[in-house]
Amino acid sequence: MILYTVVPYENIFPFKPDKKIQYLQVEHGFVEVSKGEEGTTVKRLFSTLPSDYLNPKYTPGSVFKGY
Amino acid sequence: MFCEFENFENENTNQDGQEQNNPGINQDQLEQIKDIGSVTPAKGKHLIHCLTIVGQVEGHYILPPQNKTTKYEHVIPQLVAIEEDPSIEGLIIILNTVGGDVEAGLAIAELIAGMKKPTVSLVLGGGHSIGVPLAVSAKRSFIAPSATMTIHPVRMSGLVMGVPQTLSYIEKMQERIIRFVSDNSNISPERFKDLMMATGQLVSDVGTVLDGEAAVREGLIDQLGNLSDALGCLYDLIEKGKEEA
Repeated sequence: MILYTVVPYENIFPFKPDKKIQYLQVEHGFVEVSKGEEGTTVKRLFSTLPSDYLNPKYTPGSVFKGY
Repeated sequence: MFCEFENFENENTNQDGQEQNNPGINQDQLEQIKDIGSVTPAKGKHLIHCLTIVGQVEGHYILPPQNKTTKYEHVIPQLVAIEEDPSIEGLIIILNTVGGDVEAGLAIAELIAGMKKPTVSLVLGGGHSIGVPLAVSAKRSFIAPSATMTIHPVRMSGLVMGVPQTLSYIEKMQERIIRFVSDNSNISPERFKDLMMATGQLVSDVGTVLDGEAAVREGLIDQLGNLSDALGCLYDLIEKGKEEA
Protein backbone atom coordinates (compact mmCIF):
# COMPACT_ATOMS: atom_id res chain seq x y z
CA MET A 1 0.00 0.00 0.00
CA ILE A 2 1.30 3.42 -0.86
CA LEU A 3 -0.17 6.21 1.16
CA TYR A 4 0.06 9.64 -0.46
CA THR A 5 -0.69 12.21 2.17
CA VAL A 6 0.49 15.45 3.68
CA VAL A 7 -0.57 14.22 7.12
CA PRO A 8 2.46 13.51 9.31
CA TYR A 9 3.50 9.88 9.60
CA GLU A 10 3.01 9.79 13.36
CA ASN A 11 -0.61 10.90 13.07
CA ILE A 12 -1.42 7.91 10.90
CA PHE A 13 0.79 5.33 12.59
CA PRO A 14 0.97 6.29 16.25
CA PHE A 15 4.18 5.17 17.90
CA LYS A 16 3.75 2.44 20.47
CA PRO A 17 6.89 1.83 22.46
CA ASP A 18 7.11 -1.90 23.06
CA LYS A 19 10.02 -1.60 25.46
CA LYS A 20 10.74 0.80 28.20
CA ILE A 21 13.39 3.32 27.24
CA GLN A 22 15.64 4.63 29.98
CA TYR A 23 18.67 6.84 30.17
CA LEU A 24 21.53 5.76 32.40
CA GLN A 25 24.46 7.90 33.43
CA VAL A 26 27.89 6.57 32.45
CA GLU A 27 31.41 8.02 32.72
CA HIS A 28 31.34 10.78 30.11
CA GLY A 29 27.68 10.91 29.18
CA PHE A 30 24.81 8.49 29.20
CA VAL A 31 23.36 5.55 27.37
CA GLU A 32 19.83 5.01 26.13
CA VAL A 33 18.80 1.53 27.16
CA SER A 34 15.69 -0.56 26.76
CA LYS A 35 14.61 -3.11 29.29
CA GLY A 36 13.33 -6.36 27.86
CA GLU A 37 13.36 -10.07 28.59
CA GLU A 38 16.99 -10.36 27.49
CA GLY A 39 18.03 -7.72 30.02
CA THR A 40 19.06 -4.12 29.68
CA THR A 41 20.12 -3.53 26.07
CA VAL A 42 22.12 -0.54 24.93
CA LYS A 43 20.23 1.42 22.26
CA ARG A 44 22.33 4.52 21.84
CA LEU A 45 25.33 6.18 23.43
CA PHE A 46 25.55 9.90 24.15
CA SER A 47 29.12 10.82 24.93
CA THR A 48 31.61 13.38 23.74
CA LEU A 49 34.63 11.17 24.43
CA PRO A 50 35.34 9.56 21.05
CA SER A 51 36.92 6.45 22.56
CA ASP A 52 33.69 5.62 24.38
CA TYR A 53 32.34 4.62 20.98
CA LEU A 54 35.05 1.95 20.73
CA ASN A 55 34.21 0.63 24.17
CA PRO A 56 32.42 -2.73 23.84
CA LYS A 57 30.38 -1.98 26.97
CA TYR A 58 28.49 0.80 25.18
CA THR A 59 28.07 -0.87 21.80
CA PRO A 60 24.41 -0.67 20.74
CA GLY A 61 22.82 -4.07 20.96
CA SER A 62 25.00 -5.28 23.80
CA VAL A 63 23.63 -6.09 27.22
CA PHE A 64 24.39 -3.23 29.56
CA LYS A 65 26.02 -4.33 32.77
CA GLY A 66 26.74 -0.92 34.27
CA TYR A 67 30.12 0.71 34.34
CA MET B 1 39.14 -7.07 22.79
CA PHE B 2 41.28 -5.59 25.46
CA CYS B 3 44.51 -6.69 23.75
CA GLU B 4 43.43 -5.31 20.41
CA PHE B 5 42.84 -1.90 21.87
CA GLU B 6 46.12 -1.97 23.69
CA ASN B 7 48.01 -2.68 20.46
CA PHE B 8 46.16 0.06 18.70
CA GLU B 9 47.18 2.51 21.33
CA ASN B 10 50.85 1.50 21.13
CA GLU B 11 50.84 1.89 17.37
CA ASN B 12 49.45 5.35 17.78
CA THR B 13 52.08 6.52 20.19
CA ASN B 14 54.87 5.02 18.05
CA GLN B 15 53.68 6.76 14.93
CA ASP B 16 53.61 10.11 16.61
CA GLY B 17 56.94 9.37 18.24
CA GLN B 18 55.58 11.04 21.30
CA GLU B 19 54.80 9.98 24.79
CA GLN B 20 51.44 10.77 26.32
CA ASN B 21 52.14 14.30 27.43
CA ASN B 22 49.25 14.56 29.83
CA PRO B 23 49.85 12.82 33.12
CA GLY B 24 46.12 13.19 33.88
CA ILE B 25 45.27 10.65 31.21
CA ASN B 26 47.40 7.96 32.78
CA GLN B 27 45.85 8.66 36.13
CA ASP B 28 42.45 8.37 34.48
CA GLN B 29 43.39 5.06 32.95
CA LEU B 30 44.57 3.74 36.31
CA GLU B 31 41.28 4.74 37.87
CA GLN B 32 39.40 3.00 35.10
CA ILE B 33 41.40 -0.19 35.50
CA LYS B 34 40.58 -0.13 39.19
CA ASP B 35 36.91 0.65 38.64
CA ILE B 36 35.93 -1.38 35.64
CA GLY B 37 38.92 -3.56 34.82
CA SER B 38 39.58 -2.00 31.43
CA VAL B 39 41.04 1.10 29.93
CA THR B 40 39.48 3.66 27.62
CA PRO B 41 41.27 2.92 24.37
CA ALA B 42 42.80 4.89 21.53
CA LYS B 43 44.16 8.11 22.91
CA GLY B 44 45.46 10.53 20.34
CA LYS B 45 48.06 13.24 20.63
CA HIS B 46 45.77 15.34 22.84
CA LEU B 47 42.70 14.47 24.81
CA ILE B 48 39.88 15.88 22.74
CA HIS B 49 36.16 15.34 22.86
CA CYS B 50 33.81 15.10 19.93
CA LEU B 51 30.28 16.45 19.84
CA THR B 52 28.06 15.24 17.03
CA ILE B 53 25.02 17.27 16.09
CA VAL B 54 22.86 15.03 13.95
CA GLY B 55 19.31 14.82 12.69
CA GLN B 56 17.00 17.53 13.90
CA VAL B 57 17.81 20.01 16.64
CA GLU B 58 15.01 19.48 19.14
CA GLY B 59 13.39 22.41 20.90
CA HIS B 60 11.00 22.60 23.82
CA TYR B 61 8.66 20.04 22.30
CA ILE B 62 9.74 16.42 22.08
CA LEU B 63 9.76 15.28 18.49
CA PRO B 64 8.14 11.97 17.50
CA PRO B 65 10.38 8.98 18.31
CA GLN B 66 11.12 8.13 14.68
CA ASN B 67 12.94 11.46 14.25
CA LYS B 68 16.64 11.48 14.91
CA THR B 69 17.24 14.35 17.23
CA THR B 70 19.92 16.31 19.04
CA LYS B 71 18.46 17.32 22.39
CA TYR B 72 19.69 20.46 24.10
CA GLU B 73 19.26 18.95 27.55
CA HIS B 74 21.86 16.35 26.53
CA VAL B 75 24.27 18.70 24.82
CA ILE B 76 24.32 21.69 27.18
CA PRO B 77 25.62 19.80 30.27
CA GLN B 78 28.20 18.03 28.11
CA LEU B 79 29.53 21.36 26.86
CA VAL B 80 29.73 22.70 30.40
CA ALA B 81 31.56 19.54 31.51
CA ILE B 82 34.05 19.83 28.63
CA GLU B 83 34.81 23.47 29.40
CA GLU B 84 35.23 22.66 33.09
CA ASP B 85 37.34 19.48 32.90
CA PRO B 86 41.03 20.45 32.96
CA SER B 87 42.13 17.19 31.29
CA ILE B 88 40.08 17.86 28.12
CA GLU B 89 42.14 19.97 25.76
CA GLY B 90 39.83 20.62 22.84
CA LEU B 91 36.50 19.95 21.19
CA ILE B 92 35.61 18.95 17.66
CA ILE B 93 32.00 19.49 16.59
CA ILE B 94 30.77 17.34 13.74
CA LEU B 95 27.58 18.45 12.05
CA ASN B 96 25.16 16.60 9.85
CA THR B 97 21.89 18.26 10.61
CA VAL B 98 18.76 19.45 8.83
CA GLY B 99 18.33 22.23 11.38
CA GLY B 100 15.48 22.56 13.79
CA ASP B 101 14.51 24.72 16.72
CA VAL B 102 15.99 28.22 16.56
CA GLU B 103 16.32 28.84 20.28
CA ALA B 104 17.78 25.41 21.05
CA GLY B 105 20.24 25.82 18.18
CA LEU B 106 21.23 29.31 19.24
CA ALA B 107 21.64 28.18 22.87
CA ILE B 108 24.10 25.47 21.86
CA ALA B 109 25.87 27.79 19.39
CA GLU B 110 26.28 30.52 22.01
CA LEU B 111 27.73 28.04 24.48
CA ILE B 112 30.28 26.80 21.94
CA ALA B 113 31.18 30.37 20.94
CA GLY B 114 31.68 31.23 24.61
CA MET B 115 34.11 28.40 25.30
CA LYS B 116 37.73 29.19 26.09
CA LYS B 117 38.96 25.77 25.00
CA PRO B 118 39.98 25.30 21.37
CA THR B 119 36.98 24.34 19.23
CA VAL B 120 36.81 23.26 15.61
CA SER B 121 33.68 22.40 13.63
CA LEU B 122 33.33 20.19 10.60
CA VAL B 123 30.24 20.14 8.39
CA LEU B 124 29.67 16.82 6.65
CA GLY B 125 26.65 15.96 4.55
CA GLY B 126 24.55 18.91 5.57
CA GLY B 127 24.55 21.79 7.99
CA HIS B 128 21.25 23.38 7.14
CA SER B 129 19.16 26.15 8.66
CA ILE B 130 20.04 26.47 12.36
CA GLY B 131 23.06 24.23 11.58
CA VAL B 132 24.68 27.37 10.11
CA PRO B 133 25.09 29.22 13.46
CA LEU B 134 26.23 25.94 15.01
CA ALA B 135 28.90 25.54 12.33
CA VAL B 136 30.26 29.08 12.67
CA SER B 137 30.26 29.01 16.49
CA ALA B 138 33.59 27.16 16.68
CA LYS B 139 36.89 29.05 16.63
CA ARG B 140 37.67 27.54 13.25
CA SER B 141 35.15 25.95 10.88
CA PHE B 142 35.62 23.36 8.15
CA ILE B 143 33.29 22.01 5.50
CA ALA B 144 33.66 18.94 3.31
CA PRO B 145 33.46 19.82 -0.41
CA SER B 146 30.42 17.54 -0.81
CA ALA B 147 28.53 19.05 2.14
CA THR B 148 25.75 21.60 1.70
CA MET B 149 24.27 24.35 3.81
CA THR B 150 20.78 25.74 3.28
CA ILE B 151 20.17 29.31 4.34
CA HIS B 152 16.54 30.35 4.57
CA PRO B 153 14.34 32.75 6.53
CA VAL B 154 12.93 31.79 9.91
CA ARG B 155 9.54 30.14 9.82
CA MET B 156 7.19 28.52 12.28
CA SER B 157 4.89 25.57 11.85
CA GLY B 158 1.78 24.90 13.89
CA LEU B 159 -0.77 27.22 15.33
CA VAL B 160 0.32 30.83 15.63
CA MET B 161 -1.56 33.95 16.54
CA GLY B 162 -2.50 35.85 13.40
CA VAL B 163 -1.40 39.24 14.69
CA PRO B 164 1.27 41.65 13.44
CA GLN B 165 3.28 40.99 16.60
CA THR B 166 3.84 37.39 15.49
CA LEU B 167 5.55 38.64 12.35
CA SER B 168 7.71 41.08 14.21
CA TYR B 169 8.63 38.31 16.69
CA ILE B 170 9.77 36.08 13.82
CA GLU B 171 11.65 38.95 12.26
CA LYS B 172 13.47 39.65 15.51
CA MET B 173 14.36 35.99 15.80
CA GLN B 174 15.81 36.17 12.32
CA GLU B 175 17.84 39.24 13.26
CA ARG B 176 19.38 37.31 16.16
CA ILE B 177 20.48 34.56 13.81
CA ILE B 178 21.91 37.02 11.30
CA ARG B 179 23.79 38.86 14.01
CA PHE B 180 25.23 35.67 15.51
CA VAL B 181 26.35 34.32 12.14
CA SER B 182 27.92 37.60 10.97
CA ASP B 183 29.67 38.07 14.34
CA ASN B 184 31.16 34.59 14.23
CA SER B 185 32.12 34.34 10.55
CA ASN B 186 33.40 36.52 7.72
CA ILE B 187 30.04 37.08 6.04
CA SER B 188 28.36 40.48 6.30
CA PRO B 189 24.84 40.69 7.75
CA GLU B 190 23.57 42.20 4.48
CA ARG B 191 25.01 39.39 2.38
CA PHE B 192 23.63 36.71 4.73
CA LYS B 193 20.18 38.27 4.52
CA ASP B 194 20.46 38.38 0.72
CA LEU B 195 21.24 34.66 0.71
CA MET B 196 18.24 34.02 2.96
CA MET B 197 15.88 35.82 0.60
CA ALA B 198 17.36 34.66 -2.71
CA THR B 199 14.93 33.25 -5.23
CA GLY B 200 15.36 30.65 -7.93
CA GLN B 201 17.37 28.14 -5.90
CA LEU B 202 14.73 26.29 -3.92
CA VAL B 203 11.51 24.96 -5.39
CA SER B 204 8.75 27.49 -4.58
CA ASP B 205 10.71 28.83 -1.64
CA VAL B 206 13.29 31.49 -0.91
CA GLY B 207 16.80 30.79 0.30
CA THR B 208 20.15 29.52 -0.91
CA VAL B 209 21.86 26.15 -0.97
CA LEU B 210 25.62 26.52 -0.63
CA ASP B 211 27.98 23.66 -1.34
CA GLY B 212 31.28 23.40 0.53
CA GLU B 213 33.18 25.59 -1.90
CA ALA B 214 30.48 28.27 -2.03
CA ALA B 215 30.21 28.37 1.78
CA VAL B 216 33.94 29.13 1.97
CA ARG B 217 33.75 31.66 -0.87
CA GLU B 218 30.93 33.52 0.92
CA GLY B 219 33.07 33.69 4.06
CA LEU B 220 30.58 31.65 6.07
CA ILE B 221 32.99 28.77 6.72
CA ASP B 222 36.73 29.27 7.19
CA GLN B 223 38.04 26.54 4.93
CA LEU B 224 37.38 23.40 2.94
CA GLY B 225 38.60 20.28 4.63
CA ASN B 226 37.95 16.92 6.07
CA LEU B 227 38.52 15.03 9.29
CA SER B 228 42.32 15.11 9.19
CA ASP B 229 42.35 18.86 8.41
CA ALA B 230 39.93 19.60 11.25
CA LEU B 231 41.85 17.45 13.75
CA GLY B 232 45.17 18.94 12.60
CA CYS B 233 43.80 22.44 13.12
CA LEU B 234 42.46 21.52 16.57
CA TYR B 235 45.85 20.12 17.60
CA ASP B 236 47.53 23.31 16.32
CA LEU B 237 45.11 25.47 18.34
CA ILE B 238 45.77 23.36 21.45
CA GLU B 239 49.55 23.61 21.03
CA LYS B 240 49.41 27.34 20.32
CA GLY B 241 47.30 27.84 23.44
CA LYS B 242 49.86 25.95 25.51
CA GLU B 243 52.75 28.04 24.16
CA GLU B 244 50.95 31.25 25.03
CA ALA B 245 50.08 30.08 28.53
